[in-house]
Amino acid sequence: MSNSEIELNSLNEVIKAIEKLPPKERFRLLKNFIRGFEKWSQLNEDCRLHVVQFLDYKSMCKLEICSKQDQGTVKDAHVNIYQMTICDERKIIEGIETEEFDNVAINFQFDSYMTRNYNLVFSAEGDGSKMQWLKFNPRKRGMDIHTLLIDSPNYHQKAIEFAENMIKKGKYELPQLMVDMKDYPMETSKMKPLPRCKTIRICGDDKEQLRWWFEWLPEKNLDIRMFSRFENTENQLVLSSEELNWPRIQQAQKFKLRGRADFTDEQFLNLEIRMAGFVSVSVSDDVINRFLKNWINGTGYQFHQVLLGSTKNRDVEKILRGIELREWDEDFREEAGFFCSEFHRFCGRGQLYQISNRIQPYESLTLQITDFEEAQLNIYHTGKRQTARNGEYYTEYYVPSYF
Amino acid sequence: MSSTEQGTSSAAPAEPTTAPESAAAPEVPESFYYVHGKDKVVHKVSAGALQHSALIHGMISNLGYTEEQAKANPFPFENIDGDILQMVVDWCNQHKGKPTPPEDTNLPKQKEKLFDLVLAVNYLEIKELLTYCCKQVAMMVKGKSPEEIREIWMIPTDAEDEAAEKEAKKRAGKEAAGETAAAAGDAK
Repeated sequence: MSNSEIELNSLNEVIKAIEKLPPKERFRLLKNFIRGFEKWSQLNEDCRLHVVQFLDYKSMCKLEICSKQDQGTVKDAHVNIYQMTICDERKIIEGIETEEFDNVAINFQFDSYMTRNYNLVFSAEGDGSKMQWLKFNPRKRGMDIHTLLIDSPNYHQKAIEFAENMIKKGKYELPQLMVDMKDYPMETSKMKPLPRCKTIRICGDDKEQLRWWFEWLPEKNLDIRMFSRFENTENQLVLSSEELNWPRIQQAQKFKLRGRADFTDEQFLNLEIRMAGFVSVSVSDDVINRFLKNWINGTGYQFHQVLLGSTKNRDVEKILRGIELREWDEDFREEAGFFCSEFHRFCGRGQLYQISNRIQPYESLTLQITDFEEAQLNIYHTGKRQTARNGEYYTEYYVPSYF
Repeated sequence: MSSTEQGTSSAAPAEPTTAPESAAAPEVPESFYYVHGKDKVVHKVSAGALQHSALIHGMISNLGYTEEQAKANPFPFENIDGDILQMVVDWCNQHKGKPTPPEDTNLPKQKEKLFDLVLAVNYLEIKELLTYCCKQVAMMVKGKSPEEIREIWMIPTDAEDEAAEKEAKKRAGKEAAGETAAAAGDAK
């Protein structure tokens, strides 16, 4: 028997002996191992806050009830809130109700790497309200429904208060926000500017509400997605040229609109959004043709991708008039085989062309006219000039990011 | 949303050529400073190592001391115990000129010194070390019940706190009365 085996065996015995100990005795052993931090109460507030910020929210709540001093520290501590969703649209909440019911669901995540989402559902209960959530019960190997009764008939208001309070606990440093609310109580809201917000998903057709939300966000480099509450095209969300001029949209890094963007020709030709997607745009085929030609002649802007909705009524020939195209033929597939297969994997198929830049011949666009569902015109900046170690230029093709 | 942007080259880039080696820059002699704690033991530390401390870095950045001047004027940190300052200096030397990894295995192991270390590091504004120390303290109570937290961090209950406060007030009152009586005696 080797030495390591003896050590492992004795370790096993020690673990077994520890497991047999009563919980108090086990904790005493653990405490001896940790050795404690007996001067916690004497630590200055600056350091205490620094320590508390490394605790998870649950541990913070437990510390909060240890003493008045700790309650004060936790109250001032920053809680990381990574993502918050406020939604009154989900009528069926799996596990809580099998039938449709009116509710407001609040979903949040403490960290980007945490897979666990906290889901709280607020709804009416008799004359008051209730908050419900699901928790895994290891004994049952299933979910338990937990309910907290709230002494207020306005569950809608209570849900918003809860969500805004969590955002406040995160010192308004929320990076991702998703809102899908029919009537957000803007007048009673305690929302404040969200200077760290990068991603916003808004579902709603109320322009006043959209504008109200935008006021809290940073002016530049946002990732914005806007959806309509209605799926049908008659009621689709339409942004007027004036609304498309809102600084947050104009200076966004990514902007996707599940609706129609009523761009003026000038607005469309002066777009500066690196990744843009629209279900439809109001501009004519000639303007799209000019947009492409501007890029070819080096006068257009440097975008990653522009996805232009349905081309059902569009004349592709008009769009491509006077533009030199290189079809994705066998030669091209041989030259950039890996790129082509990866492109299909992420962006699908369709008619595919490569369009080179006249000023920077190693730079090129991929034009995709999709052949699934509704035809769509997608323009990706895929070919980029690179310099080899010997100083020679070559084209490297990049598969577009998912958008 | 996952970023899938990845490059695939269309033409094989040419064989790499050896990049010309940059001419060796003349070596600038490293400057050293001196610090001491409560025990007056002086530690010699390079300016590079001291960059970790925002407090000291701010103090020395405009000094332009010569070696002799630096030696003659060690920075006094009377509020920091000598052994704690030694730990901090060692850590700064180990991490000179390099960013600290998120999990730092070079942290002093003596847990009983952690309290003083946290205070010293906070005072000296060594951000990375403070973060690491505070993480260690936080880890002690992560996932514990309030009773366990109280025991690990020796948190007195509010009642104990109040009793201690009362006791302190009583003591202060007695001391004040004693001092008044003594002063009156002196006056007579």
